[in-house]
Amino acid sequence: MEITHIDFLAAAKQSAKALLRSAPLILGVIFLVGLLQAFLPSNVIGNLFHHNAIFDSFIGSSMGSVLVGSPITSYVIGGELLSQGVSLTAVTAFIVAWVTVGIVQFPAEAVMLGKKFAILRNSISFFFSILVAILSVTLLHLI
Amino acid sequence: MKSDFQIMGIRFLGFVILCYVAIACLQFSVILSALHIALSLLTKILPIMGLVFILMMLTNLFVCPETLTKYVGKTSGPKRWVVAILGGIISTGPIYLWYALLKELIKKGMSRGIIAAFLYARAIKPFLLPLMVFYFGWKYTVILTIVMIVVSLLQGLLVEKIMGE
Repeated sequence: MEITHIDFLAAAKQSAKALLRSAPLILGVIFLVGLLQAFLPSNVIGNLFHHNAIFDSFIGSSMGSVLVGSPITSYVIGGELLSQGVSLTAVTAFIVAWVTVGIVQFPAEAVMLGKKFAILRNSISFFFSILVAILSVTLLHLI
Repeated sequence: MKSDFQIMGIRFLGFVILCYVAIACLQFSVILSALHIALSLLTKILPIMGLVFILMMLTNLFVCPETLTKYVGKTSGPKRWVVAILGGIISTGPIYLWYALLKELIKKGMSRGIIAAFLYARAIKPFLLPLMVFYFGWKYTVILTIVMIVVSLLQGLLVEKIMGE
């Protein structure tokens, strides 16, 4: 496959557009994180979680399922949650559910790929986000 | 034309700016502190975004949704799982575009299990791995990526079994 400078420019333009589309949301999240950190004592968000792997993962997955946006945003929020004392298991469940469960995209998925499929896929993905979080963090501690 | 996602982002940023302005009127010192935290975070992320841009550009340069969909649709046997998962990992672009392409594959007889594995594997974004490493470390990123690849196969098999395909 021969790549011309036109292909190269088109790919650069497409990538720049994709990043620029996400930029307002990412900037909004970064400035909101700054505001929350300046306002709230560092342990407030951490106290929302109970340091129980399954329960925390459930909360993380629920948050990740309803929020929408570029995965970059989920890493920024996840990284900040981690620095606020939230467990890595909950943060992992959050970032995995963010990209695998799509409550907002559900209507489109149901119409295009079938309602039964969309319900099944999103339900399994929700359950798996908890499983993936617990498994990954356990492996991280073992290895 | 701006997409719904972009409009939502602009509205959200506008809302955050309004919060800054409102709080600045009451407690200016808090805003200075918030700006300092946000700008420090932004300074850390920006160089990594440069790397994300390069990786994203390379993916866009070599991966075409139509070609990839055709290839996933043509493969059979156990190899189809590998192709679906790899296809999901390297796929880019908005999910809505993929729904339309995958719908065509279902019409042509593609199992929904394969579609589920493909969609799950889309969660693994090679061009975003540098950012994940920045926040969570190498070891975590490698483990999570491997676990997600395995789970995308499990998800596909489970969906195929339940859907009776």
